[in-house]
Amino acid sequence: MPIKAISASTALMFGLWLMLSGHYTGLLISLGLISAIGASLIAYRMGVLDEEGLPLGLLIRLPKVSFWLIWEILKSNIDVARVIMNPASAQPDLVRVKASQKTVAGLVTYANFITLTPGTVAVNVDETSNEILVHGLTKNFCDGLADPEMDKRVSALEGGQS
Amino acid sequence: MVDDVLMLVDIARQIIGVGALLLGSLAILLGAIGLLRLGDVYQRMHGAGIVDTGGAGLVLLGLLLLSPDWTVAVRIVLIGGLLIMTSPTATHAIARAARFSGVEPILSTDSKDKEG
Repeated sequence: MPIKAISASTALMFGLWLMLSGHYTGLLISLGLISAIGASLIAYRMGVLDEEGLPLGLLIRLPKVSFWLIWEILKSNIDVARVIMNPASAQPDLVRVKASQKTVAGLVTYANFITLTPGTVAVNVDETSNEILVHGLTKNFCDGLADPEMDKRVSALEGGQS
Repeated sequence: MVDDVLMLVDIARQIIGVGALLLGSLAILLGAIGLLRLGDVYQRMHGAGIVDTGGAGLVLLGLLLLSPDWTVAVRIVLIGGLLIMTSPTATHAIARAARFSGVEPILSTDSKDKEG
């Protein structure tokens, strides 16, 4: 049994329980801990505690990009707002973006980051060729996708693990 | 002296919180206008993107700053995390569904050949 995945999932769920419950007596805390362990064991039995269901390394490194991502989201929010004020200036286009991620969780994170930034939406993800088909609202957004910075940052999230 | 500083911090917190709520509402309004004005399904999703990110984000930031105690603050942070993971997934699902049911996006004329 992969003790690491089960204990990580238990710790996450027990932490969530502690933050949300608001009852801190011995009996209730131990009941909460027992349910966290039980839920982790069931999740393990279901086979969802793998690198895809619980990408630990990726989750731990996620805060590193969050400030950069929030800044990018703010900038493109303003750009999309400009287009909305003047719909005739939209130059929609479909572009293919090469993704350099090695894990499925990493690829999904990259596609989600693209969609999360207004002005670009991931329409289709091709797992075999590692390509993401992206719909951009204007030429500017499509050109922005050619910049590999976001791709690099998401790949760095994956770390050195396989 | 310390009391004065704390009070100023508290006032600043409330002003920034209300400002974030107002800005967030503005972003949601803009997103809704975009949803109505833009050309096709794919373009309208970008309008919805403003509601999902700028709108929801700023409203949650405002609520976070105005929250009365830490249990409420923790819930707001969790809601934010949930939205960040689910809203792009939902947007992607709509885009993918539109593409697979044969809705062709309007493309700017100079790039018709790249479509595929």
